[in-house]
Amino acid sequence: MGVPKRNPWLSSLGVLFAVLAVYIGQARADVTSDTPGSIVIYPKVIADGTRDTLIQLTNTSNVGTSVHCFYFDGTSTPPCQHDDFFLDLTPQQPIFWRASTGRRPDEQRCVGGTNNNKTCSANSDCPPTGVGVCATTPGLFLGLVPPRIKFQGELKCVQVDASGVPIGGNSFKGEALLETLGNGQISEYNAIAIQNITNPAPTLTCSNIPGKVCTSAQDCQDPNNPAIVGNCAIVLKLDNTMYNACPSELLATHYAQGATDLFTGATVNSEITLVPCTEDIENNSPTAPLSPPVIANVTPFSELELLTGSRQVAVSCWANLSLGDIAFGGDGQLGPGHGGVYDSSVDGTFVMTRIRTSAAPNSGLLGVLEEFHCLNNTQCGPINGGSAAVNLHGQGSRSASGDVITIPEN
Amino acid sequence: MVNARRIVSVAKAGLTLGVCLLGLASSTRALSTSDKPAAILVWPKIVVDTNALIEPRTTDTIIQLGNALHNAGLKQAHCFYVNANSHCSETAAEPGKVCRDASQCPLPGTVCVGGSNAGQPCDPTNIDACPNGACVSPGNANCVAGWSEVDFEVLVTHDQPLAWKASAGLKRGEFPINASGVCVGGSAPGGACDPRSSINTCGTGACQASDSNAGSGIPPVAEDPFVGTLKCIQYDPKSNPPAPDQGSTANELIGSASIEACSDTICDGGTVDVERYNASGVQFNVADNSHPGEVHLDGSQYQACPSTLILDNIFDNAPDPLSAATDTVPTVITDLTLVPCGDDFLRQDPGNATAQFLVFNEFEQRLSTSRKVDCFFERQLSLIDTSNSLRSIFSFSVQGTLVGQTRIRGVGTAATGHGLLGVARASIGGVAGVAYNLQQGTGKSGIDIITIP
Repeated sequence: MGVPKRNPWLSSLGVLFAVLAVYIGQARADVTSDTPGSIVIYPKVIADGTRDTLIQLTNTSNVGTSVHCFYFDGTSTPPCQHDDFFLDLTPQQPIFWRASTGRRPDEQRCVGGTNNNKTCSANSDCPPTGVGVCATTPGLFLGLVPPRIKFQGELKCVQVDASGVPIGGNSFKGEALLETLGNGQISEYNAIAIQNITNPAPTLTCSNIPGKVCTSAQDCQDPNNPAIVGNCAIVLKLDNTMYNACPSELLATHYAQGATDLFTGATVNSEITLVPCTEDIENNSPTAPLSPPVIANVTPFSELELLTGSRQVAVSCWANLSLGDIAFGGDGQLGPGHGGVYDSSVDGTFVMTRIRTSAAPNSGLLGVLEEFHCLNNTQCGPINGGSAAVNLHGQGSRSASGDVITIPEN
Repeated sequence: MVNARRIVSVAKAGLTLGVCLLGLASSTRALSTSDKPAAILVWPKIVVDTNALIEPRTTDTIIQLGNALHNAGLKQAHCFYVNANSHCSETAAEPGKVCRDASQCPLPGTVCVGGSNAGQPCDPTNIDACPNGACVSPGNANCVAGWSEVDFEVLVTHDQPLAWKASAGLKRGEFPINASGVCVGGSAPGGACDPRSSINTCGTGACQASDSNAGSGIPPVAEDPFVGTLKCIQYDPKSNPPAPDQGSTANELIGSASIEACSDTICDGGTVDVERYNASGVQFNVADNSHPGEVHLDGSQYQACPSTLILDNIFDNAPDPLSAATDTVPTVITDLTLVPCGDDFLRQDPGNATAQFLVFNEFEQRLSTSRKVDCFFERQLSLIDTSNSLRSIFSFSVQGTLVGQTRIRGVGTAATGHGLLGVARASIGGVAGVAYNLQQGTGKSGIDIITIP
């Protein structure tokens, strides 16, 4: 009986293909706002009475699937309180809800009239008579989304199986439409998607013993103090192996603060909203998921390719930074005319902003930019300006930086 | 014999594993991108109408282009404005006038319709010209689709944001860094100078060449009103003859566009509507010099275009889901723009493909339609499949749910007609609007080629 002789060249060729394939897959893996993923992040959700947000979430796959979503309140006391909910989506199903009202399957709301979009039980709740109609929101909605009031923060949704365990599939995409209720101005951005690379499900890890794999809380007994038993939580690693990694740098080109719009002559102010890639939802630190917060180095370059100064800003779980808040000059005063960062009198009309995080506590950042164009220069913002939002560009990869999202075991 | 079969079997297994993994890896690869620096940028929709002749409001587009390289590195963008304006035919009252459809191209003169003088020419200022009839235009001439391109070069220094108004462009001398040199030493260190000049303007110092925008020139769009596309390909500024950048820093361009409109004609009051989107990018992969004058979006030299674009939309004519108290609830309208990934700028042969639309509502019910994308496609969603918006498969009244998912697949056989790129604009009540990037599936379209003059 002969022993089969393997051709080392041919089998090596196959191995080479395999290695090359894995290399290519890893090299190209990155967080994106234009491809569906298994984690979907909406960095800027506002429902504060002045503005409201329409959330759209779509299952782009041909199989039904579920999501576990978390709202992070960026302005709560204590900050970064979160609430979660589950939704089931049928194949290819698009769904929506308003951040201010949430959504439930049987909800009835006024269509038209002075109570437009408010809850109702009869047409008489929707005056004036003959204009407003009380109707069930048309569509299929499998789940319950809680309403948010006086809310400014982040929404994060993780694809899960029927038992609530995170899975791959890369099925979800989303958009957020922000509307200023007083003037009807709207902004829209794509939700940021993080793709899953390796299925099966992410590992359970002890919350109190870094890196220890567990199957239940019993595995998380502190070896030095048996009285302390941690939680067995789900750790999603953004390392280009389990999930795509966050970018090492965020980029955007935009108007300098207070600059004059080239076409309309309006004054332009901008906000950058940042959220950390790493979030420990399981332990829900009383002050922040990351304490002390992540330090973002915000570095603007002028049209003359000049670095006009940089600033460090703290990002705990959510930061909505008006460039005017960063733009203090040598005289300590904020805003245009004081020679600071983002001062249009120094930077010129346009700026390229680069955002990196500093050393530990280290986390990647994700975000969006929103700008307001006001013909009335007084306190230019969403109330008196035309608005537009855009996704930030990402560059580089933090695959080795240890970004993780820790969520409670269901 | 047995051994030979086993050898082949082992080899096949290895190769199969490799190919399978390659396919798996490919499925996670980025195709086009709207949030990463890239080598090819496409702004699918540029709109200019500074006199509100066609658009409902005065409109212009602010284009932003940046070089993402940090601290060092000049990059060149070779750009093409594609003019997709249609024009009234020769028989129209105003031949050559920019139009969007035939209704904007009336035939010359007026005739009586109905009444005793039916069919007779008439004077519209004479109220008695058409007894029992009406004095109206005799009909419409054709609105003829057009396509032409203008190309230009832009040099962008590291970390630099450049921006211009599409209606005006940027002329020589209007760029941020116009001098190609800087004085070193002498009485005016840091001053601007020209290193190619025979005259030393640096006194006792020397003129040292530095990165600048010198040599750049951006023309205004060819017409006002204008609708069309902008495509830019990253070139190597040191290459002679000029050629696409195939070096290690070939993916450094980022871009966006803001379509802006004023509610007042001269923007002296009222509100401003700003709709901003990121340019779609296609990243460079591997150098390939076997086809000079062409860039191949094939997944090899450059990334391929996606086989499927995904649009999440609020169905047309749906009530604004966020609107606060009003007597009349504003409705939502979405406008879609699609452009082919490939274009033959050498032979002036625009890309064309067929767009297949699959529309899903919240009940996962599926309807479909298709339309030709010939160079440039722009249409209100609910007018894609019908002229009656309320009967469209993109209409709230037909779908019965507020939001939908539309999957758009480009189908074609030509080298310029496989993949599609696009952008959506949604407006509420015709007053405020947003532009947003389409998303994409993971599959690749066929090979698309951009041929450069």
